[in-house]
Amino acid sequence: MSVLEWVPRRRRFRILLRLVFLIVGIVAGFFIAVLMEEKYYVWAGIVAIAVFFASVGEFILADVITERRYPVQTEKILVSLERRIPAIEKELAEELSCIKNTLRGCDVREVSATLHLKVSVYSPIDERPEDAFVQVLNYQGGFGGSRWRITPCTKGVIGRCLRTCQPEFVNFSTVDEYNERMVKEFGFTPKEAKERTMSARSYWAHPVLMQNDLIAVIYLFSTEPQVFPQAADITSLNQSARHVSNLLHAAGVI
Amino acid sequence: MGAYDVIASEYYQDSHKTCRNFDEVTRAALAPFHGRVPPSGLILDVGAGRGRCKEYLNVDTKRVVQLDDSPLMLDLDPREPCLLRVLHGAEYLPFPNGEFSCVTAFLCDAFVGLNCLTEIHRVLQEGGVFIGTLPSYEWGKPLRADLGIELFQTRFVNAKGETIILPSVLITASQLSQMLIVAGFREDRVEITKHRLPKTVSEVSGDIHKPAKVLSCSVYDLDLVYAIVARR
Repeated sequence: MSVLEWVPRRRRFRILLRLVFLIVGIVAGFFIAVLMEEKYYVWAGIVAIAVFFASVGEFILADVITERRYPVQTEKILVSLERRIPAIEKELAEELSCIKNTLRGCDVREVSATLHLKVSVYSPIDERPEDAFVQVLNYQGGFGGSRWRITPCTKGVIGRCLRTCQPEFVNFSTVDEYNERMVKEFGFTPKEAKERTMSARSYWAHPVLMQNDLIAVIYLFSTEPQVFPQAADITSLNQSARHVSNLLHAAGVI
Repeated sequence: MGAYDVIASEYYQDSHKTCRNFDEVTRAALAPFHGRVPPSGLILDVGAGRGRCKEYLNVDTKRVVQLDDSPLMLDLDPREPCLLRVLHGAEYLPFPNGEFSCVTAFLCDAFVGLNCLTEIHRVLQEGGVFIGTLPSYEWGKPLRADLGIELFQTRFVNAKGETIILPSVLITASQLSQMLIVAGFREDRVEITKHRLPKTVSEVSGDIHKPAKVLSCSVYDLDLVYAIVARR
């Protein structure tokens, strides 16, 4: 694990951004020195003025970009999760592996699984919190993106699961059907749809409830077609969902 | 539009050698099962294409309902006559429970899956029979790895020389057996047998030679097709 991974993502982004400006400043300084030595004083002055304005702008611009990408209130929530989740990470991953092994009549090697936690996030547009999902574990299986990704609650089969509080599934028979329905039915833009695992064909979202409120979604997908809903054993999944709920509660995540 | 529309006009031509080789294997594999088709009642041919129930199982075509999600496949001519043609996907079947005494699905890799098998079980009468064939995992796994395509995709080269990638499910015989059980069939009523190219076939596709070479066996010693007979 790199040292940077210990730094909160907002701060990490801010440091990297400042580093970029610093490197640009150093390179510009070098050119100014060369130009001065060659007695191109006007050109050296122009570069120096440009660097001065860029430095002033950086203080404003970097903050704006950082706030847009990582709103401070959202980041606080994520930092808190990043501190609490590791304590139960192993148990959660084991639970997901157990869930995969309860699937019937399919090749579990083609199945990937993760957990999406419902959180309130703040967009840079206003101060109103909105529901979203944070992927708190890396996928158990060969596909899928890395954790800490945020998905708005309006998107995907997990968003549908949030709205219905029921298990939800979807199957796509071809990549064309995937591209069409991900946009028409699941709220993604065509670009977002293409950024996800396009070889997946069958999806399952299972609600994790606490006192009848949805707190998280167990999310499974397979590259094998038509796996869900038939492969899912609802009784086992409900039991796993209760266990996940207890783990999240005990770790103070909820 | 069905996925196989893009290849429908030429799917049955001799230029598609692998398909023709699979036809030969299917014909030989199903010959012993002619007597297993119930003597009366409707027969549903899922993923029918131009229809092959008469050719493979020697049944009265007036009993056959042909279903396919490709309008071009259902429009092919010449074709086997039938009682009715239905344009519909195989994942959910638009028929009441227990409507058919027999369901067939020949080379059903384009649409086979748990949902499809569950639906086949649902539309079969008690005592009804599902007869199907599927390209084997033993053949397809090494070939698709060699071609650099995904396990659940197949590739056709059309008359213009263009490569076409289409959905095609490959599963092991043991997984297929599990799937039929999950779909509702009783374990003791499921038979899956493996079949090879008859030695009388002299013109063999390069896509059969390739995996045979990988597996260091003759093209006649490679399992090419699974035949499924499952009784409800």
